[in-house]
Amino acid sequence: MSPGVLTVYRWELRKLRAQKRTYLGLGAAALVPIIFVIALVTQGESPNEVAFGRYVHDTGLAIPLVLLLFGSVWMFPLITALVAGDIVASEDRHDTLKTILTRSVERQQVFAGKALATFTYAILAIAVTGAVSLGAGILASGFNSIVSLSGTRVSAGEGLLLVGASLLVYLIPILAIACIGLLFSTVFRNSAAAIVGTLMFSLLVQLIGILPGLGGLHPYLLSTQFNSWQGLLRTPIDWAPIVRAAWVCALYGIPALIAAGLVFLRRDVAGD
Amino acid sequence: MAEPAPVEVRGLCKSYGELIAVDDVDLTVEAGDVFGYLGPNGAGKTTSLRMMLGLIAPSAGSVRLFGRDPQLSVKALQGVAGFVEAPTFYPYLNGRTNLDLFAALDGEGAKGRIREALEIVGLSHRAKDKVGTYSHGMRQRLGIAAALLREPRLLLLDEPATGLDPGGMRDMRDLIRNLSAQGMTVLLSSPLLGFGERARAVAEAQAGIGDIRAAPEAGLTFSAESEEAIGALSLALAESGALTLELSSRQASLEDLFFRLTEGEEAETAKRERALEGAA
Repeated sequence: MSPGVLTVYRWELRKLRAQKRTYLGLGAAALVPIIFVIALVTQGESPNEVAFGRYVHDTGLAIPLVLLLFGSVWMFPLITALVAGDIVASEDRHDTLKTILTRSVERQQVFAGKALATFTYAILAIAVTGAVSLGAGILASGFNSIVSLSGTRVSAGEGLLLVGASLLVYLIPILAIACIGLLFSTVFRNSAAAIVGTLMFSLLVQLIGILPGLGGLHPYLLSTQFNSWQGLLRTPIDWAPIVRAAWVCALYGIPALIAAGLVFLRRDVAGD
Repeated sequence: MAEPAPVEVRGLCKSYGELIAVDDVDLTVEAGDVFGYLGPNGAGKTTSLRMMLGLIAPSAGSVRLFGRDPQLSVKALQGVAGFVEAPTFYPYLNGRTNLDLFAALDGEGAKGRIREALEIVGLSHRAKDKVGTYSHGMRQRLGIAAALLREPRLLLLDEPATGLDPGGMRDMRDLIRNLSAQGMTVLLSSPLLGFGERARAVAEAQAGIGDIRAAPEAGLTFSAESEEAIGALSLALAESGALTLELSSRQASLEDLFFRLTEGEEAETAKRERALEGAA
């Protein structure tokens, strides 16, 4: 069988497994929830100003939800950008594009494999944060029912399901960020520039969100979509923000991905 | 019908804005040739090779490898292998894993050739070490191993001897000569300095490795050791269409002197060691 996207994808994962930054990102995704829970337990206070903040001592289910809120400012965009911004740029750093592009896989296959590996990493990072924060949260605050944003009590079992679904919905804007990181990685050909650029983009969009007079833009900003999962925590479930997140994030992510792919396909692979 | 030539380049140009990197190159490499693509640094040899491998798009002109266009699909590189500038690898993976990766991207049984390729270039003992720890010469050899995985009929090598010490250069030359003897077509670029070196190799091997051609407009100086070598050189030059202005015998090259001295030293050391062993 001739090699294709799947071969590239498998080897991109293998390369990620051999690089420190992968563990830096996944390590942060695991460590932050642990530190957060330790702080909650030792300080005994609650982050009452955010949604679900006042329940963190009542049920472990509240911990991942609070972390999703805090993490959307820069933590998850940074963890995502760490690999997305590097996946093409690292080939430029090691000058290895010429090496893999003179084997038997087409450029579009190399790009597709890299994009898939980036998404896999981003999904894994969110899964790690979700699993660790649930585990640590349940250890610290127990596996108890949770009060939804509409004020109704949801059983622990159903709450767990909703937390899982929230993590999935949270992936929508995360994958859009990954596409933007991939674009910057392809265009800048420099890891640091791509990672910082992706983070700056994410922060700038949030800044636009708090500028006075631009309130009308708010529903269409990428940063807003990081809160769309909250629709799941209402009774009945409010699907509107989730549907909007899907198409708004597609509007950010898909053009970025296509642009990155075109640049990658057409670029001259020359030395510096 | 005869198979198309391994390399056929017509009117190849590459310009970056005002800067013209490659200007109207025509060349044909026939099956079985060892083709020296010569010119001083900055003459556009590497850029030409990048276009031949489909890494960069020509501004004008065409490249055909066995009749196929590398700009259209990587399928044109079937049976073709090589590297431009120094071969590169993932420094955080070991030599063997790098080759595993390339073999996976090659398909077609390349994986089964890894062990043999490592043996041919003499790197089996370091295969488990990260490439980040390899010397320049080892990377150069690993580059050849990576090329051999593709079972190439055509090897495109960009200054394969650059940066090697005289011993490494000789190994590289022997390796290329062996591959050529097995019927592989080789196109290798080389700065002018190496020409005398390679032309002498022809003289020594009694022209056993096919054609050597030089860019006709480039002036050449080279050294040779014996009358016969000079004869073979002038013949090679004449075949290449180059104009020979002066040909005179001179002393051996510094490279050779260095090599002889270090070899002599090794022999001396071995002799001393044996003497010491005898005394003890």
